[in-house]
Amino acid sequence: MPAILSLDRLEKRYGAVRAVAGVSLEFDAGRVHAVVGENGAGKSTLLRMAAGIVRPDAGAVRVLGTALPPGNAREAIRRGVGMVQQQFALAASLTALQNAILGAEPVRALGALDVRRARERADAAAQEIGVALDWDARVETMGVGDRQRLEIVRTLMREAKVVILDEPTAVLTPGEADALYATLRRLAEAGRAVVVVTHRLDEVRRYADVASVIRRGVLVSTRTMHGGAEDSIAAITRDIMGAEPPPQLERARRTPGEVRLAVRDLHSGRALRGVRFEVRSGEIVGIAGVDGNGQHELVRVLAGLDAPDAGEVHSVGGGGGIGCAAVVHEDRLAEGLVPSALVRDNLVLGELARFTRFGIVDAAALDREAHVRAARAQLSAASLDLPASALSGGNQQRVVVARVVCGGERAPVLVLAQPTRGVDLIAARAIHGEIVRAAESGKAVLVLSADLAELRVLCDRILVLARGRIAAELPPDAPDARFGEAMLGAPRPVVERSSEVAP
Amino acid sequence: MSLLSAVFSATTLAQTVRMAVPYACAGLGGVWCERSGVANIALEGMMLAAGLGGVVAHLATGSAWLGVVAGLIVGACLGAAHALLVVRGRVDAIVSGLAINLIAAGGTRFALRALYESSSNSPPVDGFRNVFLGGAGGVALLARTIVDPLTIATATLALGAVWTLGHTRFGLHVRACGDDADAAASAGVAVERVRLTAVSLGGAICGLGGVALAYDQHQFQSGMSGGRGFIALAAVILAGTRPGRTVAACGAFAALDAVQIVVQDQVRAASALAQMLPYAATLFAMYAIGQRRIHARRDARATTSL
Repeated sequence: MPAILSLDRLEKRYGAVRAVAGVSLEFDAGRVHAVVGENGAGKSTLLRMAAGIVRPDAGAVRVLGTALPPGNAREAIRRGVGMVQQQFALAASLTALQNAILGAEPVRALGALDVRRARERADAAAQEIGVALDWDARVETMGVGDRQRLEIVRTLMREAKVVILDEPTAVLTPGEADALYATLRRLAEAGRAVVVVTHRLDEVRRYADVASVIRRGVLVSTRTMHGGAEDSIAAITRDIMGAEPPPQLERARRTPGEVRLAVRDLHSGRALRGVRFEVRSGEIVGIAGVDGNGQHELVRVLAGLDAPDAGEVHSVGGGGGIGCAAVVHEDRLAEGLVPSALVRDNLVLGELARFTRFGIVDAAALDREAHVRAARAQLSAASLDLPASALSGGNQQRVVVARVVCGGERAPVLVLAQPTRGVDLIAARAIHGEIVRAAESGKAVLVLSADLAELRVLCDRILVLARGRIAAELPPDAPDARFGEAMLGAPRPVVERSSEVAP
Repeated sequence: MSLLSAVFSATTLAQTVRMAVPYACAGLGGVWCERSGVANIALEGMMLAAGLGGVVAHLATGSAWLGVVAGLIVGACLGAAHALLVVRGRVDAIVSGLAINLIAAGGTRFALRALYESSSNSPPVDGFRNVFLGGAGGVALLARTIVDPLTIATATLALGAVWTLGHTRFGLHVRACGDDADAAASAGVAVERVRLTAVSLGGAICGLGGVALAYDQHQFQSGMSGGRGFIALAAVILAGTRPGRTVAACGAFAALDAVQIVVQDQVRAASALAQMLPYAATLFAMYAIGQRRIHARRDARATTSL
């Protein structure tokens, strides 16, 4: 029997980059198949080609042995390939039901929508995976978990034989992630092929039947997982990186000094609703939470980019606003780098005054400082003369971190938002090293990350930000369940009634 | 007659309805474009070009109805051109809209000269003259205005827009495209085709407004749209692109116009102020669009999870 979905030597180039270089893979019914790899390895592009969203340069996608027309999402959907993308493809101002039927509406005469039949179909699909959704709620009022369930329901309503999910747990709390995988298991048991793109190895270990590793656009290995044995996970890690992983950071005891950053009762629109915390010298404090719970706004206030509606940010030795904190923003291309400028200039961005005498730039001094920082970021001297856009994501982030850590020498506080997002493991470990060194030199460090594992390695204590408030303060070794609870926030939201998940 | 009784009279009401028709058509046309996600500042030019098209066809064939058909076609063609430029050609919608406005303004003047050897107006046309409801009073005028085919057509189009957008497959596709084109595309909606259809439809409806304007004046005059397209656009934005509210807002602008006509003898300054209305309204619409974009961006960011 042929695989439900098979990919045959798929190729995709973006400019000079071969995102996917001749990958062949098969996905079988009844299995949860994980596709793993680092950010930028090409796994999303591969599956987007499989779902007809991206048109391949070469190769073919076959459903039950018959080739799909390339780059035709409608036809892929019709033939039973459904994909839940990382950025949900839902129209926010429409209701759940309207989104569920969009593109495959049951209609009566004159193209009038048949709402009753639509609802029956939607209910049937929702029942299959054991969820209940409020069909009349607008998507913009729905939580991320419900939006994801809605997307899955929608693929089932199209009678999907293959359900592909791209990084489905990136926006979920640990508890929600467990529920999601329970749902996916049911889909597989009903005879579908389930494909999950992820970079989280613990999920692969716990839930996958098969795991394929993609590195730099090439398929490295495909393994059948036997109950998630540790040695196969170690082998997968090696395959992902193409080398032995660098040693895990040792968590050292640090003794916190005096308070360097005090945030009191911070309010900003609907995003921040009374945030208060303190960070001491020599301390690394983490802020955990699902994206979109006020992290973005908090960083902007700490960076002095936005004025809060109420409350104050106080930093000892720096006053308030710009200058009190050196900040690594979450979106390095938008807020951290000038992509078209040289790496050399990016390394000293914003500090030109230091290298200027009588209005004339001292190029030699600037160059010396850039070399020092490049060495610290483990960048070759040759790369100083490249535009920042030519560097990989990991190296770009190293430039930003090196600049902020070195340039912010006088700033008593260091704030890092998603410091290793989209960064390969080796670069991530190097960045972690920089963060720890900064704390050891006596800075107060605040790290915001969606990756709980990262915070656990780095931080002395972890605050959970949920709906604009600090919902809990937990030690780094607190169990997942307690973090999950805190991330859900104390008062359950209105949408909660529609998000019960059957066991 | 006192000022107050002049303002609150059947005549004023009739004038309001009469003036609301072109506004409402342009506004409804704008709704279809905006809802599908294509900004359209070319309502003005579409009205103007379709108005001339209608008058030319009316004069050539002697049939007011064929004039209406011609106006619809001209509007639809300009709509299709705008959609092709913006959707296929990736031209900025403001640039394309501006170009259509300029071409319509110059093109109609050129056509007037070429066809009728006049730089200002066409020969007179009948339009829809009602032969059954005579009389000179305000009430008779109101009756004539209400049973005018173009008034009835506009009301039908307004109801049709409400129903189609809210309760049909096409309406759902249009709203999905305007809300999030990528989401619509990956759900299997043919975004380009939907936008092309919606903007052409919008252009046609807008064109009907141009014909109504010309028939009302019983001739085509150069630049006769006089900023109405921009005011209609302001109404669309003010109404949050909802068809019913757009027509209501257009009615309000029309009422202002009607009152202005009634009182302009008494108060000289009113006329000068009223002439500012299109420009002030456009400025306001631009401000409102900008604010909406800022809010949309902030909301997108602040979408809290759970």
